[in-house]
Amino acid sequence: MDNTNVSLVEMHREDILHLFHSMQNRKNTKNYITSSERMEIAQPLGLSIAEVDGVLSFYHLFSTSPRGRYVLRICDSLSCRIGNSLEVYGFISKKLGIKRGETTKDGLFTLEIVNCLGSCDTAPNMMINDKIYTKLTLEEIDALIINCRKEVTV
Amino acid sequence: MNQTDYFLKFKNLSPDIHDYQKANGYSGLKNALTLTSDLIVEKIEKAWLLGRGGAGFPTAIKWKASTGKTPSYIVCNADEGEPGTFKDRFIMTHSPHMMIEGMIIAAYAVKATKGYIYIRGEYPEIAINLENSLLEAEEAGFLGKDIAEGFSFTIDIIKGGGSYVVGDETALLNSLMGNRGIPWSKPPFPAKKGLWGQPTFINNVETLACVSLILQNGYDWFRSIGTPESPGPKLYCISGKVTNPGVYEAPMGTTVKDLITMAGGVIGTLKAIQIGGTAGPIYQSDALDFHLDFTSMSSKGGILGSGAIVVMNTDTSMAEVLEVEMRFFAEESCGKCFPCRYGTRQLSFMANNIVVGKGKREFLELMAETADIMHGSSFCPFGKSVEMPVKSILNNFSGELHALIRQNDYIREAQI
Repeated sequence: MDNTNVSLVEMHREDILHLFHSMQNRKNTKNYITSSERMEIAQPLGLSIAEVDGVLSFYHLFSTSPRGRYVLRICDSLSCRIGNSLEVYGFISKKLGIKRGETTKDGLFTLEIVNCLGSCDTAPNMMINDKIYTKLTLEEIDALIINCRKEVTV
Repeated sequence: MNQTDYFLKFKNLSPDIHDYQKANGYSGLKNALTLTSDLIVEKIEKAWLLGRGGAGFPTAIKWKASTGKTPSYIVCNADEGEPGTFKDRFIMTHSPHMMIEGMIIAAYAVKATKGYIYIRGEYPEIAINLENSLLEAEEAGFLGKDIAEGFSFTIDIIKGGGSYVVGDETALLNSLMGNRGIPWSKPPFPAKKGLWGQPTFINNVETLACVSLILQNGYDWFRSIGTPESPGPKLYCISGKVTNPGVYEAPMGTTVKDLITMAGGVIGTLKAIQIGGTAGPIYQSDALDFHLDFTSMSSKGGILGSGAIVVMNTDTSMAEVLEVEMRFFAEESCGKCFPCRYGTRQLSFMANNIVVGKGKREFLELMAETADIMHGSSFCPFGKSVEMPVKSILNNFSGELHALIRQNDYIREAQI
């Protein structure tokens, strides 16, 4: 769904979150919003770049620096922590050789820890880009990572 | 044990409009459209519906502030960010029309012409399904132009960007208008001056679903469930160390013990229960006898909050719980006011040090003091609420924390 070529001239300030979401997903290889895209938003909305950056930086889901093609968001709120989220984090971190906030050298994976994905009854949970995976086991995580790699080589 | 299934029955039905209508859906709206706005508000007041988002504010009192001024707005707060809470996800997944019907009734009652569903960014799949539900409602003539004589109403979906504070109503409105999601000082209340300075009525997903139920079944029915002060059915979210974690439905005032039994009981030996979400206190097993409704919980110095219950057994380290919660507050503080911005960071720093074995004796006192200061001087409920989890952990589990710090001291001394 590429709906970002809509005329920005008709956009209003309240569309800014929508613009962030669609720009970030536009080229699904980078998962971030570039400085030229921020300019693209600022001009038609009549905002300064600083103001756009201010709004952008407030929200956890957006990034202004390049991330991997797959952003892994591990939930580490209380219910997930009780449900072994640390083990999930440790396993992925070791497997991919990255820590929280880091991206693998091949640009495929970024590892993030987030606060509550709203599925506490199915802990531990993780999102890979827009999709949530629940009741994770280490075998499943293995398979998910292999799947992501396969998707890229196809 | 007294279970109800006004919400839960939809678990086995499809979320589409036909299944909802077969289950008496949209009959509430049809009833509403035969009444005047004032009469609807009166019904909601007689039902004594209390906001299900966490604060428990009477919905009718909010709506009464409507003066019929145009434009005015209805906002559905679907920014369910409270850790331990997943009931709104349940409603939006299994019976989205229950919420949409409630929104349309609310719009008719306060004479709003435009509605927004502000859904958290972490629910992208639900947002897509909701778009579909809105189309279904429009095709059925419940949304769009001339739903009734002189009444038109449309709904847009706004996807959040990932922020806990945005669950606060004024922060949500700021976010909806394209600003940073920071709260503003009330007054002005949103019902007087909300979106773009116009009257705006914000209700939680479950509250709006209750509005549908009340208009479908009458306020007498609603008041016959639950307690006199907190009537109606309630969705409770049970997670942690229970056999079958999930969403359970029971009348307001059901005891913690009954709910845990519904969820198949505790795995292992019960140690602690957090009630109301991360901003709620953490109790010992004495909480089993608590009645889960707004009045009973506040009489115990706690909160019902969003109806979240997190169960911990003896495998859980309370220092770790403290650390997880303080990190949550530090990461989610919006930074508007100093006590919260700085206090949450200090609390997180101290809790983290205790867990990694660098805790000091004075930390526990300092943490309690910091929480007190934050409670007294933070700008919004977020900073104020930190006091409950911090002080309840420090009070109820002081033995465990002191022992851990003594151990830390010993290790430090021995290393010298």
